[in-house]
Amino acid sequence: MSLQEIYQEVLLAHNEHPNNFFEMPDAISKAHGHNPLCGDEISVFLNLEDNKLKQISFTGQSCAICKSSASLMTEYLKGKTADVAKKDALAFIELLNDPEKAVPENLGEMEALLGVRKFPARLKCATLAWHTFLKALEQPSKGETVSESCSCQHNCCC
Amino acid sequence: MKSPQATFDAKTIRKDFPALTYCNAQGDPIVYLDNSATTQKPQCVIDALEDFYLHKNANVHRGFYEWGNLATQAYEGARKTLADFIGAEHVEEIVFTRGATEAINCLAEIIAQHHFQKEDEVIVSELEHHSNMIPWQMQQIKRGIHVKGWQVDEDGNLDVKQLDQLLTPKTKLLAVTHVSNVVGTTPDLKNIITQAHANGTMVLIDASQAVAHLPIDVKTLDCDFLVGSGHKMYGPMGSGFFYGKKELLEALPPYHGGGTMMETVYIDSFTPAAIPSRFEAGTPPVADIIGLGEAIQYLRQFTWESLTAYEDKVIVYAEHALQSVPNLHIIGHPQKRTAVISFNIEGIHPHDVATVVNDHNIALRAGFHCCQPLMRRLKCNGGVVRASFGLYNTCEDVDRLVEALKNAQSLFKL
Repeated sequence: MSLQEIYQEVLLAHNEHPNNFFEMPDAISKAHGHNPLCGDEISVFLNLEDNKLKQISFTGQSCAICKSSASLMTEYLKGKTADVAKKDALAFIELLNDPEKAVPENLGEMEALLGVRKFPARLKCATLAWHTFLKALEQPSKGETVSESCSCQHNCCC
Repeated sequence: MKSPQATFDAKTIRKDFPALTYCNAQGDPIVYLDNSATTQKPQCVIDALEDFYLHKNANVHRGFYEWGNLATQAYEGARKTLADFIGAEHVEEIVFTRGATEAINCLAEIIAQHHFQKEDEVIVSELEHHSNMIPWQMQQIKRGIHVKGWQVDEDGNLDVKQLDQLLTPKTKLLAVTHVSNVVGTTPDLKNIITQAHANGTMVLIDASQAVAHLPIDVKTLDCDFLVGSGHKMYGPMGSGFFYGKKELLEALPPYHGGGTMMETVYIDSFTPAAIPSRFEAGTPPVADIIGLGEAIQYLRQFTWESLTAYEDKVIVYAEHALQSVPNLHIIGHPQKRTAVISFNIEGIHPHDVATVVNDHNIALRAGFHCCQPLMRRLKCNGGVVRASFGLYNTCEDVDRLVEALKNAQSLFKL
């Protein structure tokens, strides 16, 4: 369990220059996620067109793990249909939560996030953006909501 | 008891704490800097717990047999030890609880029941831990009182002049900490209490962060109530207490109902027991309280002069050493600091700092530290990193921390 496993170069780069890190004023849906114990805070914005994620962005104040996870997530989900994006997000949360689970081959840069599986105290940092995304997807309204729970089967919601 | 030692040698003291011998897989010895969350326990406290369960495990105030007597003697002995330790005049002014949180919740409820009317006011300072805020806010919901905040300035200090403006004829109680668990601020309590009393306002002191570090004399302070946590003063988790002036406690109703807290019981009524039993319903955490008594005996082998001089030396050293780290900002500049320093490093989130230093086997905490209003006031919306010290910490511990922080900066390419 070394620091390089959790702070992989890819993540540090996304932390420094996150993708899709902006507020979307015309978002069709947004949700706010918050870990009250440690202070990670994130907002996820979505725009759907023909049931596809045309745009996805985030803002917030959070640690390197949370921020890089959010940045990777936006790239990973952009362009997918709402149903596929939901399924993929749930599968990734599942993968983060279960160190025994086999790693699929198509993860690309996101594989770097799996180092967190050896740092249970940081798991919530990695999953916060994903839970917040699911919340935004489930409640397509402009009202801001706190992502206290989502449709995942884990006790990892913040 | 031996007479207290006038000299203080942390290297020798460390040998009393078996947990501090822990090394991680790389062979780095632990640097434990999370003492505000909980302190490590000396061997004598661990032995006291074992001795209780091996040789006197019986309920207190009930048994007619040898173990029952031994357990009761040891439990009541701890009460006397604690009363002497904080300068309480009467031993029955000490009530044992399972922690400081339980102590404040109990006091908030029974004080409110007896003293508060709708529209009355309670002042809480912004330095307070959530556990000295929320119990009062719950009374606000329940009884229509008003909770008013006493602002800290940007340095994390409380201004007594502001208190003057907050106090009104409706202010029944002021809840204020002895030492801030984030900034280390150590307010001038004597002055604050005098001012509150001049207004007819009672004062409750949260001494959780103070009891292990500063001499406390409740008579000199003249506080009405004071709470403390056993596990933050080298005692076991599950032990805590409150002090209340005898005449005040005698006027208060019981909190929980159950065994011990009553005198005579009928099918539809009861009469409450005398203090302190009135507030100690049910089986108390006997072993933990005995362990707390042992922790106090442990602390009392040192003179306060030698202990505070040593801890001050380490905290001043830490403050200087941390300032030598580029782009590190110490949060708050209290007029008097006790045992705690919080800081942030530009470009690295507090969680990441804590994770990186953990790799060097340095234990410290990052986040809000149960002080969200204070974080907001000090503009630390992402939380802070906190290093909090105990009597076994050394200047070498600080050096290890500084080295680890510089390592975090190089990992993050800063």
